[in-house]
Amino acid sequence: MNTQRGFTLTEVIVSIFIVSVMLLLLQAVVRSSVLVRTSKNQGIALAIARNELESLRIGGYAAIPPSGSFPDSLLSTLPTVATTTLTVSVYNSKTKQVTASVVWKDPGAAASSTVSLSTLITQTGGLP
Amino acid sequence: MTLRPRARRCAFTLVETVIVVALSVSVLIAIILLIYNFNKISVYDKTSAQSSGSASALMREIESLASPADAVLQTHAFSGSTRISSSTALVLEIPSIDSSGNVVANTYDYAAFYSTGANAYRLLETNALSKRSPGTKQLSSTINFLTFSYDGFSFATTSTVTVDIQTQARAKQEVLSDHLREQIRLRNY
Repeated sequence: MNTQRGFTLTEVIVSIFIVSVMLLLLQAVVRSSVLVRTSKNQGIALAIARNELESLRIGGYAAIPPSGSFPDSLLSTLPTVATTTLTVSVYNSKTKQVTASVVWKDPGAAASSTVSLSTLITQTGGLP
Repeated sequence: MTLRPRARRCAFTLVETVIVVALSVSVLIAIILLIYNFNKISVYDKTSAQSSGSASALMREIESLASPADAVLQTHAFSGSTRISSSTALVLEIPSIDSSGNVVANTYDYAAFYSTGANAYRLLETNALSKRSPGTKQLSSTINFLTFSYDGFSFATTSTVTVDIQTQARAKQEVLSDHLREQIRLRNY
């Protein structure tokens, strides 16, 4: 009579199942925390881009600066090496198209994220 | 093959018991740690989402009323309380709109944004012809600073309001803070 008993196949399958469910849960929690952080940074980037467009619209057509980067006090709250870009292009003879982009890289993310807002500014009929 | 006595085969040896106890303890510790970490991360996420979410919700709400406004008022008597514009409160006069979005001539809605402690509120008083819905609404409960700055020398000459929102929430030992800053031009100034 064989008295040496190991685990049955069912026991092994059940334990593997429990362990993998645990690991899946852990992965889901970690992913959601990455998502929360990304959405927070997206909100900041949106505020930066929106603020820049608002100030350009207030300044009016004549004061539109050439393409380049622009400063913002919130930039330091994004993960480092966050950059801003302002692109100004001629839409027609009396209108310019301005695009404000904010690029940053979340720690641990494979690629960098971008938030970009665009508007047209005309020679006449801007903000009061 | 000699069979051992039946009673001896059914009991555990000391070594077996020790191994079983050690295994159960380590599995238990692993599970408790896992649950503790789940809990910690989810509390952190929830607090963080609350803090940054309420900051942007407050900003969107101020934006939605300050953009169509035609003036920042120094003071306005709302039913029950008088609100005064300052660096911590904003009182706006907004032309009323009807259900199709057209301005109703010579009628105005009045809005005030202010914070009390960690709570930020929007107070809206509307004309009978306006389609905006009046009332007091709590917009955030995690305010650290809510400040307004104005571009004019007086409220009458103010056409741009700069809103600075800092929210702060505590997740166990860690303090999470968020900062948003935007300028808003009064489109009907």
